[in-house]
Amino acid sequence: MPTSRIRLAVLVGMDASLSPMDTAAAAVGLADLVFLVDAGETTRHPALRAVAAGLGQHAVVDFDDLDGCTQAVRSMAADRVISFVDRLCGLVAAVNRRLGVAADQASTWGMKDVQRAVLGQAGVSPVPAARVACAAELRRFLAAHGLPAILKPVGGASSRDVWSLHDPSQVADAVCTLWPDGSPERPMLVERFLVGDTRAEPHLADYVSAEIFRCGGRTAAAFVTDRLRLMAPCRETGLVLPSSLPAEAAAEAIGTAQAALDAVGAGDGAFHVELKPRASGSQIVELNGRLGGFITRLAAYGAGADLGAAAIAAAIGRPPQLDLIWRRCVLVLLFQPPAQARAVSAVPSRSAVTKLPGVIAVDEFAAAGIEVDWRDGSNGAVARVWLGADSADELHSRLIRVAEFLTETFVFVGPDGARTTNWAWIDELAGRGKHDTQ
Amino acid sequence: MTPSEIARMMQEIIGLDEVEVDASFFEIGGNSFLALTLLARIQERTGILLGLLDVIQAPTAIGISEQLARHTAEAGDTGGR
Repeated sequence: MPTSRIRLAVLVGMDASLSPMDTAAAAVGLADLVFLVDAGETTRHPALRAVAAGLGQHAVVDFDDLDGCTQAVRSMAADRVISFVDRLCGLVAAVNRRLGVAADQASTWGMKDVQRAVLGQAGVSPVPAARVACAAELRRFLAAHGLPAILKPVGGASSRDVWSLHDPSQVADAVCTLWPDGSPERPMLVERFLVGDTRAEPHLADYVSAEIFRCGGRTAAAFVTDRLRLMAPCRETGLVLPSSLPAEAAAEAIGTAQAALDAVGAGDGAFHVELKPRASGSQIVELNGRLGGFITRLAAYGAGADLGAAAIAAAIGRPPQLDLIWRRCVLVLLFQPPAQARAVSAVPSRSAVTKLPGVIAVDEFAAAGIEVDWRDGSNGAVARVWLGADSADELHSRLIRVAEFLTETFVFVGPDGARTTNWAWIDELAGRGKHDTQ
Repeated sequence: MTPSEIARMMQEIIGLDEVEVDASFFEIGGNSFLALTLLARIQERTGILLGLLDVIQAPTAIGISEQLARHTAEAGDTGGR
């Protein structure tokens, strides 16, 4: 008996972990798609609507209007909603609940403070944390729990505006920037700085991410992705697959991620969980209600896998067939400016980077003259380089070569106009003694 | 349009010194927004409007050229009816 295909409404927006085009390609054979675009965002980015229109039936709605969104989804005869945009995950869950779809029962997406509280109450990775909206509240937390601490926007994404507080001067800098007049303003989440076990590989950070594909309330597929060492302060610099975490540690991390998703009542779909693996038990950094950024393309390069299709399959209640057989080791380098940099004064040629050993692709290449700001987080990367190799060691060597080349050829200048570089980060990646720093 | 002509178009749109005819548009800096620009320029030149999914399925200058040729052949088969 023929079954009608499920119709999914995709909420699109900027900074999606899977673009509308890639979502459409991933859905072929699985579901029919219609697209919803936010009226406000369309005003700032008109091409969003054009892309949605180019892919199929679409509607422009106000994403702040839950009733309006729900009505639009119903009028387009969609069965459920999905999004790959971090800030829209809460809206997805709310609309799905109204549609009567088994969805997140207690949506914490976009509310890191609520998420941390729910996890703590469930006994999953309890971490001292507090929502703070002024300097006094921050200082009260630090007096109770001490340094080091992490300070980030309650509804933040892409590591934007994440402050690493290790000493009083860093606290003073954060206070001065976030609350210059001393009055309560934007809410931030402060929590104890989590420390994961140090990895044997020098280029790897002490945190990983777990992609969890849930279907019918159970995990249908899951895997871990390694992360490159952060660049100060707390900026993402890349991902590596396959993970070199020992199988037992990877299983424990995935188990902790699953428990966390259970605690927040996550429904069906793909979820991205960041954790710090520890022999004494992994600690959750954060949960996200969508597929992780960059991972889809990385898994395609490394294993020929289609994580977009897996995410859509999970969202429509069909357990994804995800059998990751790694053909090569792959990574994506998000090349970040030094924290002191304020502008890019010169860049290498893209073709020169493309010709370096192991480079699969180069995109998001900055132009000379642009301004840079560490507070842009992951989006502050001036180059994105995808690399492959037959072994983890070879991949590491190729990473160092590319990172050194970019550090030599990208010219960043600080507020005084002088060149600024960050060779210390390269030295850490390479696991060697200190380079001459400038 | 020949693959070379399409590659040159990609080069201009993305802002590169050169683009190989077998290079994937999305691996050399192209994205969905720039793809729309590419499709619009191709339509101006040929009168044929390809879809975004067409570009995903064949993201190289060679692939797009072949799609255009297919469209032209199909239009010829229908005899303009």
